[in-house]
Amino acid sequence: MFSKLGVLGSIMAFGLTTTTPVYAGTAEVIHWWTSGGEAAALKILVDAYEKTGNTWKDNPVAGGEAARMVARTRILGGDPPTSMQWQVGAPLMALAEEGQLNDIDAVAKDWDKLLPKVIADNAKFEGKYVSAPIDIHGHNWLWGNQAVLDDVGIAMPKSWDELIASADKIRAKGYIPLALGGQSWQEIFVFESILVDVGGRDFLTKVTYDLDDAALRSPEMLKAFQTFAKVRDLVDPGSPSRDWNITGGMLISGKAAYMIMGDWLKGEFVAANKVPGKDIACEIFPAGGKTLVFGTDSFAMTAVKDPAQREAQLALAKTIMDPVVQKEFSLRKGSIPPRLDVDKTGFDACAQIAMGAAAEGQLFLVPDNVADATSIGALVDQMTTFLHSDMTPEEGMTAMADAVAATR
Amino acid sequence: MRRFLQRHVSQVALSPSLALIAIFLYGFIAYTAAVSTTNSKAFPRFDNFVGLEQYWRLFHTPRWHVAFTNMFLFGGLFLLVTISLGLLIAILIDQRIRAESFFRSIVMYPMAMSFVVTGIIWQWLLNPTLGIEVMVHQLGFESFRLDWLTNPNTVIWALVVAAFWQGCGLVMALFLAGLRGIDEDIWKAAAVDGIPAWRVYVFIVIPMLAPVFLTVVVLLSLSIVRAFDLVVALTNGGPGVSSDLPSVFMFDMAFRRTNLGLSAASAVVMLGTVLAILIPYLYVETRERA
Repeated sequence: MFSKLGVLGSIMAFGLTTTTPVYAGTAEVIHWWTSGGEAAALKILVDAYEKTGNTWKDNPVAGGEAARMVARTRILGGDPPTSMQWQVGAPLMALAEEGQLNDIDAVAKDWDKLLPKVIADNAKFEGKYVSAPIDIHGHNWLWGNQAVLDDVGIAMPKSWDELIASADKIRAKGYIPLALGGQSWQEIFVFESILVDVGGRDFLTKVTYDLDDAALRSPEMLKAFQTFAKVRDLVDPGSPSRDWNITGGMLISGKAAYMIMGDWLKGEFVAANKVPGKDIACEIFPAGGKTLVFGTDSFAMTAVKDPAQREAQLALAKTIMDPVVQKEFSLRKGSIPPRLDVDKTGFDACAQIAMGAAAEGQLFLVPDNVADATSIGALVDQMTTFLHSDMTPEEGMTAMADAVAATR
Repeated sequence: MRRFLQRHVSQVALSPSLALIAIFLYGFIAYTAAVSTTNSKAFPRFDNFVGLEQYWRLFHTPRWHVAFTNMFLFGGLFLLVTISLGLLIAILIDQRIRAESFFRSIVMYPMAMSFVVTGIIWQWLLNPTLGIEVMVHQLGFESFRLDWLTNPNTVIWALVVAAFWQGCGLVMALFLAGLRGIDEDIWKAAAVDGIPAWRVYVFIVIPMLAPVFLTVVVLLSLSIVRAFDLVVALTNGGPGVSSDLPSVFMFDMAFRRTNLGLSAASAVVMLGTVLAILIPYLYVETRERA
């Protein structure tokens, strides 16, 4: 069905100069964006999509695991949604290898030029795009409460040595040096930044992507564990099992000086009327590491056969990659756009740092999306076990290497 | 036909449910066992037979050892604490006290709550920076420590406390019913002989409650193996992985780590553990009847 209104809408919305016939289809999309900020961001995408004359059939499932399970079950049952939120890299390739995804190369010819190479490579299967990326979230951010830092009389540390050296001064003033929520998914951000600190990007690759036995038993690894052991003294007794947002509250209220957490923490600053980059200082940590560990949300395109569904899919991919959508979406979500040519105006200081890092090729895809899930899982289990025990660095290193080796 | 139906009415009536049990219980147990011999990741696949490799892997996973040991540690402590205190409370309530139903309700109330709510309440109470510890500090006892929840060596105690709080009511009710079923004449006879009450309880009444004990142990054991929501709400397996239970491990492997093969292997080991407890019990039961 030809929809004049839809074409008109898309021209007005994105200033398209060519008008290809738009077939009105319906895209059923499974996603897990249900919280306030996420829903506001999603609305940008939905509105833009409906302006193309297609209909967005919303299928939100609270929680990433649950949403992925619903999507998987639907695919197994032969009734896939048109598209679904999915992570790029290994999880996407697993679906593609089963023949469960359509390529969207018809609308993705120039994406290689627009996207950072790491995202382009991980959104493609056998050289063809199967998923459209919509945001980038950085993980290894060091946040510092500026008022606390001023009171103690220190600047943001550039390395782990500097951070640990400043801890005594911070404690002397009655603050907690590091706010840490003691759950493994939060602790791994700390551990990854230490790996970059001791051995740079190459070492992080060897340990978390390759899970290389020699690297897991190397002197650098021992040094990483020695630093990680000191984290036990940087945190308060309430740290174990604490949720990230409560932990974020300690940083915002000035109980703690630092916190290492992904950039979604900025949402909490904004809610507390603090300006990221001013009231709360930010830094990709360690500063000299040239590595921003990131995750990206993308919409995978399932192997639907119906031509109308197919058109709806292509229109969705096109909408997701629209520069206006990419910018407006990330402004609301607190992320940065995957497209490198989006202008930086309107983004906060921390997002601008991240956009610079992305342009300079410093992105490092989160190991969960690259390495074997069981092996990296064993590493995470041993990382958190070590932190909450009194194991020596030598014991911790051996236990981790052994546990990883057992998963092979 | 009619004669056949008349003769086999009970078999015919039972057959639908037997068929359902055969498929959905035993069928899926067999299915899980089959998955555990494959290298399945996100989807079950049967084209990749690996024999017992997943079991070897399971028993070389340190986190599984923690989870498996925890089940026995948590189970043993929970049984001991809940049965002994539940019995004690039942005996106290049985003393024909005033406002008995008031006290009974207090003990029974936690049962009405879901484990998720229980978990969150105790997470707050036991949190050393905002719970009981802070309250006692404010009363002036600065040296008081209650860090069960944040100490990997004691976190199991926190689980036991929360599970006890929830399960005590049921145990108390069962024991109380048992106590009320004891013949009054036994008490009169004991009184005539001048035997002190505690000796009557220890040597006569409690041995007579043996069937109640059996019921309680079976009910509590089932809740131990099933325990999942409590751990997820109270500790989420932390600190580290120190309060993991097999069910949590299984869920994690299946849905977070997308390793169905390993997850199925852990499920089969859990089933084996249950059978190891159940089979001797059934054996004794059937022999007594024979």
